[in-house]
Order: sequence, then structure tokens, then C-alpha cells
Amino acid sequence: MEKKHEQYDVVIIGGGAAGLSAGIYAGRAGLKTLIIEKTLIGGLANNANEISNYPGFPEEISGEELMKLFKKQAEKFGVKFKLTDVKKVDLIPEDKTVETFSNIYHARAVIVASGGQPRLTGAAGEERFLYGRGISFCATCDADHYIGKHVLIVGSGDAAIEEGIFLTRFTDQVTVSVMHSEGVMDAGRIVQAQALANPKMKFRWNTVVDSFVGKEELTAVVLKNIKTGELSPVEVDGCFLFIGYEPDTELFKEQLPMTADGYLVTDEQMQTGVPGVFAAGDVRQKFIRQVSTAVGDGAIAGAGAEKHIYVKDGKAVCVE
Amino acid sequence: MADRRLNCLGEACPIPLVKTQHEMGKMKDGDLLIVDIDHSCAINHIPGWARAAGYNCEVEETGENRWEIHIKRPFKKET
Repeated sequence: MEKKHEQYDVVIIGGGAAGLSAGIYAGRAGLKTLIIEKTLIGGLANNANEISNYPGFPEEISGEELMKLFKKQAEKFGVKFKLTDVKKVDLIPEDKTVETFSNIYHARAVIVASGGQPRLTGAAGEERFLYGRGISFCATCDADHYIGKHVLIVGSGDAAIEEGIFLTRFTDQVTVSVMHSEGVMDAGRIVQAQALANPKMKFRWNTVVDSFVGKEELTAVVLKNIKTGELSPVEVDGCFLFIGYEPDTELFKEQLPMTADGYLVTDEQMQTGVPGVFAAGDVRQKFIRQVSTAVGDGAIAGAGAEKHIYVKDGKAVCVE
Repeated sequence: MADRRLNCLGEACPIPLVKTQHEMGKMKDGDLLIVDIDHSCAINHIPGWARAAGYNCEVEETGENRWEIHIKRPFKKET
């Protein structure tokens, strides 16, 4: 199949908070801008039931609603969207290319805002229950499947405990598998206290997942006590994994500098070290991964792309 | 090569994915399936499953909360 070639000023890989913010800046600068997103525009923020620390929304807003507003603003500045996955990139030449199944996009600047993917446990049987067959990564999306039921949460960070508390509004019981000793969680103290006081939440300390069990759908998760080695099956209707994220940077290996964990390394201007290639948001090596910090990264990267193009030629030649 | 269309409008997860998996099982190399959906959760599940299964998958947003998912069963050497 012959792939179609299209020319843009800026191609942004990833349509989450960072990519959308970069798009708003690039679009507003008059650059012909494309955002490529492999799932739903909005990225990881779509999974958040409520966002209470993004300035400007004192009444709290769902992640999905907030991301719809970001998208609307990017569209206002003429940003185009394509919902597909990127297969290949060539970022080193001046004429950079980003290849999808049916297109080859040429760009003078590329902003990588590809974020990350939820980490899996690697336990036996896991892949059989992904994609809606019992293992989930988004409480907001899937809570209504579990009304009156029992779910297991794996993890003890803020996402795990906050989403666990949210799930108790729907379920009969939420069991939380925590790998740490009794009473130790990675979540903030206020959230921990709320969880411990919640009568619907039960904790299984010192445990990790040994295997996922079921025929067509998940029916039980076998937990392993890491101190005693004892295995105990927990009968559940669903399981939510909140054990962190891995950066989505496989495509950029050998082209962009990254840490041993795969996070992209940039300077304060979000430059990757390859001229005209910027990184923004969760995919970067950085201190705090939040919508608010992704927005800042995106703004800097979008402005950086503009500067790269204008400084180079004095004008953006392919603006229509 | 043949194109098929699967209407999943009004259906919630995991029904669109189950139907898509069933339909893809009947397809031959080079065939294209277009799935109509209006439930955003399927945008996460169906492309994720399709790509992990080795199919090519693209999504067209055709309206407010409405999408077409295009899934192509590749020929042996196509990527």
C-alpha cells in the first residue's frame, strides 16, 4: 500500500495535557500543527474521576471534561488531529518524518508528548484478562460494571488509594493488595486516613499478585505473601492495577537521549538535544507528573518549536 | 480483500470488544473491519487489543462522542 505524504510545521506525538498545550501554542503561533494520539484525546487525565489541583477549576472537574476543553481550545487555533499509532520516526534530519499505518507526516519540528502506559504485574494469566475482561486501569471508566460487587486494587500510591475510595461508592467491597508492611502505603497521609476509615476497604499487607484466574472473565486473583510465601486466592469480579507507569519511548531509542528507565532527557527549554525535537509531559524525566506540570512543559515546547522554525527561516513556509 | 462493517452504537464495554474479536476471527488477510462506536471506553480497549493482536488500527472521529474504528488484518509481511 502506498502511504500518503503530508507536510506540517509541527507534529506532536501524544494528545494528552502536554500535547494539547503544545498544540495550543504552536497553533496560535500560526504553525500548521498535527497531534497524533493512539487512543482517546486527553490521555491519562481522562482516567481521573476528579481533578482538584488544576488551577482555575475550584469546583473540581473530571479529567475527561477538562481535556475536552483543552481540545476545543487547540481546535480553535486550527490544530488537526489523527487518532492512530505511530509506527516509525526519523527525527534526526531537518525534514523529520513520523510514519503511521497509512501516512508519512513530514515536519520541521516534532514534540514528543507520548506519556506512558500503565505498568503490568507480569503475573501468570494477566494478558488473558486485559482490555475489558476483568483487569482495568481506570476506575472512572469501569466503576459502573461493579455495582454491588467486589474488586481488588493492586498498589498503594495516590492513584490506587484515591480510585479505591471512589470505587467504594459503587462496590460492596474493595480489597487493596499492598506490598508493604501493615499500615505502610505510598499515598499521601490524608488519603491514607480516609481509606483506613472506610468500612468498605480491606487491606492485604505484604502481598503481590501471583496469578490471575478465570475462564472467559476474571474470577479470582491469587495473592502471594512476600514474607511467608503463602498463596491465597481472592474471589473478585474485577481487578484494578495502579502500580505506576512506564514511559512510551520504544520508538525513540537510538534517536533521543533517555534515562535507563526510558524517560526522555531534556533541558529547561524542553529540547531533547536533537535540533527541532522537543519533549513534554510525563514522558520526560522530571520531578512531578501532573496535568499542571504537563501544561507548562507543553507551552514551553510549543513556543520552542515556533522559535526553531522562525529562527531557521524567518517565516513558517508551509502555513496555508 | 473485503470490507465489513460492525454497528456497535449504543453498546457499552465490553460488548463492542467481544463483537469485534468475534468478527475479526472470521476475517482473512487484507480484510478491513470498520466498527461504529459511541462509547468512549471502547476507544481504549479495541485499538489496544487490535494492535496487541497484530492488526493495524486507526480511528476516525466522526462526530461528538462518535467514532469509526478501522481494523485491518495485515498480509503476512505488511507492517
